[in-house]
Amino acid sequence: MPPPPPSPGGRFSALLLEGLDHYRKGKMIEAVRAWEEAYLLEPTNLRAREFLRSALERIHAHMAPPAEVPQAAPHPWLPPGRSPAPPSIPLAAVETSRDRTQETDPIRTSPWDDGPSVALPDDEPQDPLRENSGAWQIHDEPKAAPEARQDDELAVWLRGAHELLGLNDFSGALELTGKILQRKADHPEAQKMHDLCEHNLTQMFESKIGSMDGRPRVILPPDEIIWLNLDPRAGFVLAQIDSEVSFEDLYAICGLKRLDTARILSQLLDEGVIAVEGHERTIAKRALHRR
Amino acid sequence: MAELCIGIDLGTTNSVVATVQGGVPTVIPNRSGYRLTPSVVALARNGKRLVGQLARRQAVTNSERTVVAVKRLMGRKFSSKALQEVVSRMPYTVVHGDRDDPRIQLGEQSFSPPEISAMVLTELRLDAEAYFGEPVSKAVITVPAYFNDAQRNATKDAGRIAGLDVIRIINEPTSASLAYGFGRQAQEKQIAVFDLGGGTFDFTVLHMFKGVFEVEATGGDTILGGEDFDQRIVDWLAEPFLARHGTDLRRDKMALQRLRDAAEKAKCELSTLKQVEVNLPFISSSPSAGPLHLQATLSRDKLEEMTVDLIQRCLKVCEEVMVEAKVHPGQLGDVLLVGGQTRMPRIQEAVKSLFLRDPSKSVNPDEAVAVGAAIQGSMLLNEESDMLLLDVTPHSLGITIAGGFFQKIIPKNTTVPTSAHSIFTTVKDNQPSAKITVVQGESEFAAQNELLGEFMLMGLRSAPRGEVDIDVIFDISADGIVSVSAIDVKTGLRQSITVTASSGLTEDEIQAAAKTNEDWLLGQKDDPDFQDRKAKAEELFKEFEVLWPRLTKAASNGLGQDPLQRAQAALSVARLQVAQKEKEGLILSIDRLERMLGALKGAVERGLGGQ
Repeated sequence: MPPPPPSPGGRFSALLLEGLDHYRKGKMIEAVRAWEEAYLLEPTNLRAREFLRSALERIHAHMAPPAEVPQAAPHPWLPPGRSPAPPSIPLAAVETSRDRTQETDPIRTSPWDDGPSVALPDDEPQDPLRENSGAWQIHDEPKAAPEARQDDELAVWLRGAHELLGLNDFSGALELTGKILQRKADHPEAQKMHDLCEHNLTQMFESKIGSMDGRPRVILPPDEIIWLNLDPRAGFVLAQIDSEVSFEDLYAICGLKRLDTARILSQLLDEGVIAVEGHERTIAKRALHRR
Repeated sequence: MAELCIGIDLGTTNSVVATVQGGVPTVIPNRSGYRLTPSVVALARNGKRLVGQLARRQAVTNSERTVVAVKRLMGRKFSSKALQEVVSRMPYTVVHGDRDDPRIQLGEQSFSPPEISAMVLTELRLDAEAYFGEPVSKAVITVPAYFNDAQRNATKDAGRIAGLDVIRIINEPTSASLAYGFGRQAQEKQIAVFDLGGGTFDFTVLHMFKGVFEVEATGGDTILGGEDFDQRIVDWLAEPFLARHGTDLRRDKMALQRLRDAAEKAKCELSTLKQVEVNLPFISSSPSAGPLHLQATLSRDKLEEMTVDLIQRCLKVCEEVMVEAKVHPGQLGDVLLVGGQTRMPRIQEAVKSLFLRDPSKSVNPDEAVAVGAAIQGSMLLNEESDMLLLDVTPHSLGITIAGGFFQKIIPKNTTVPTSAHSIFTTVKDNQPSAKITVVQGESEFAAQNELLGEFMLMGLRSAPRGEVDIDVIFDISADGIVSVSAIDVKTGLRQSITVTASSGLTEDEIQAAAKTNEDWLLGQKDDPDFQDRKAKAEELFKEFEVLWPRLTKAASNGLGQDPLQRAQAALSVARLQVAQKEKEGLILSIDRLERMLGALKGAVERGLGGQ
């Protein structure tokens, strides 16, 4: 069944989510495109603007030549000379820290600086959230920090997770709550959100998979499979698919978390690597991720 | 209609079920179409009980909740050295039961070995019932020739828990020779059964005469089987990978599971092909090189080269057993190959060179034991007394006498059913009671044999030592169940025991386990109400699918996106409920979808969707 086109409001949210997805994968150009479009739809929305700025800063940081070489011209929307913002900053968007940033930041020539942007105090440069800006930071192992600062960080992450949840970005919220739980395993709110995100994501993936009684089979020839971009866990799941084992049984024999198995199966279906009898895709979107 | 009976080879690694239909022995394929069912039981991470192929496929990744080779635990005491040795090699947890019996921990629950074995037997019973289309209750189950009374009883208990009436327990080599058609002829013959299964190797020399199968000698290696051959291939695949990429695939559970599956597949293919390709894409990854694949070509010569010592171990056992049986290879009438691993051409050649004759391999080696059991079952049901197979006691039976010695009353290889007695006397003056300790084994020292049970004969008359005669009578039923009585000859005072509780389970426990098993089976059956609702929901999915192009058009002609989005959300929820068998939730979803469908159809018909 074809998915219906989203409403204007839905389009805006979809673009934000799309941008976040690209941002987490490190695809900054695509993230900028999505957030630019979102910004044009709703120019007054602070989230779109902050997201966009994060991505632009990230690009700028990566493009920056060595210190002795003259700086490349920044994107017209990017405030000159600003250090790249950490990925969680726009997600957290803590209003109270804005003024402080403005005070401490001598270079504030861009109108973007009028909006909320900085979540964490600037006097802690070694803060894990502020080092090496970019979405990749989310995947890093949490570093040890003094307890008081840890609590601050947890609060920031939790707010970030709430924001993402509000945008229906369950993956992002799951990552953040996962980080919180790594630090503080008995954090009840984080645990509750984590469970909710897992549940919702699993439901999303399983709705793509369809009936659990379905028996998938591999439709991509072995010499093409090798060109996919799979991780070993996906490789393991793929190796279990033989047209005799049902999805339900795959969950049991793969031994992964239900969400992980659902995600992998959904990805394999999406990319036309596997198909279920009677539900085969007419176009196998194979070799999308050739090495 | 004739009563149905199945023969079951309850193996350490794989099990097979067979029957005799119209006089023809037939192997019953399982519901997945395979003739072998792995003897593996698991509690998957999603809480599902898995038996057979599915359980085996996750045995490495979920090793602590997967029970393999439970046969090695059957009828053993937890404190016994044999069991401790076995447990030390098992990845799952075995704890001490209340009566020194082993209990296998699976998640929150613990199970006795017969209960786990019963899960495999239940699977086989269900396969047979699916094959026949009607309930099956009678079965003949095979056990190794060296199984003692406790192990046989435990196997029988497993059958009862699985809802089977086990009409006979027979020895595996005996069963295999029946499948090969031996035992029916009148002439006397000596044959050898070379049984190399997945996890054990057994070699047995049998003497046959007029339906009596006498185990002249049996021996084996309980930790040598096809899995050792697989492991050699796994190592051969993993070591170059380690050298090249610095990653030991054997330490990664998912990679190891794939390696084992691929190794077994390659090994089987090499029984007919000269070389095979092993391709395992995305088996690992490295931060620098990205996804790593394993590709290799394995030749039959290479496999033979790396397993030569394993084959030598088998041949050494054969030589030892033949010495014990006092038989020369040339004297054997036939050598039968049993067990899937004997398909390996190099093994067949080795057997031929040792016994100076071609081994018999006319019966599928994986299936011979089950087929023999099915033949025996058919004979028992049809009361073909002229062809009735008679088994023998696998060990000598007797009691402990003064000085800690073992006094045999029934020597091993006595045809069962049988009865024998021996007179003993008191060793002290005015001895008021006598302790009868029933022991099984071949050692002259009682302590080195297996204790089957003990009881006291109380109230002996007062008399000087040596003057009170006690008659000790042993009875062994056709199933090998031992009953022992002791009688004061002069007074007629009598005490007796039946050695039946040695499987580790009491009668109540067996019945409770059988009921739990039946309840579980009932729970597995699909609820007809749910099936009705599922059918209704699927009908609605189709209607929406047909209507959707018109709805999309209607959306742009004034209907808007909102109703479509709500419909899509409702459809997603309903699909998930179908998948997860959420019966109650599905009722509400169906109601909602029906109302939505009615409203949307109305909108389309009013012209919003155009035609």
